Amino acid sequence: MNSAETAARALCPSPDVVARRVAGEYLLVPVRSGAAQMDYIFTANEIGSVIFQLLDGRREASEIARLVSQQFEVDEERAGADVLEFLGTLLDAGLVTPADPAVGR
Amino acid sequence: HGRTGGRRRAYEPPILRRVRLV
Repeated sequence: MNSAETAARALCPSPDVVARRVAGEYLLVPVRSGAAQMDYIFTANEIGSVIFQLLDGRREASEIARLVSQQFEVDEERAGADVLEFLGTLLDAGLVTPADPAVGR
Repeated sequence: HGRTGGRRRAYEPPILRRVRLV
């Protein structure tokens, strides 16, 4: 999935990953050998955790960027670029998956 | 900025850290 496709598709956490919030940051642990990398655990910083929390299978990258720019001191354009890059990283790691297109309709 | 609500927090780019369990 390239960045244009990432921007246009709503994503949701992978069912193969358990997420737990610890001290304000997300700890992401693959629990099944699906797409996620079983030999790793992942942590996200504060902004990454906010983004991960917003992945409900309905919101697209632009909507997430708008919400991030409302909560943090960043303009929407930069937030958009950072959100896209972060979502690409999550996808590469197998921690998120494209949502069912029927969700949210 | 025309936004409603409270003070916005300091921003830093989102980071995903990866720790290998071997």
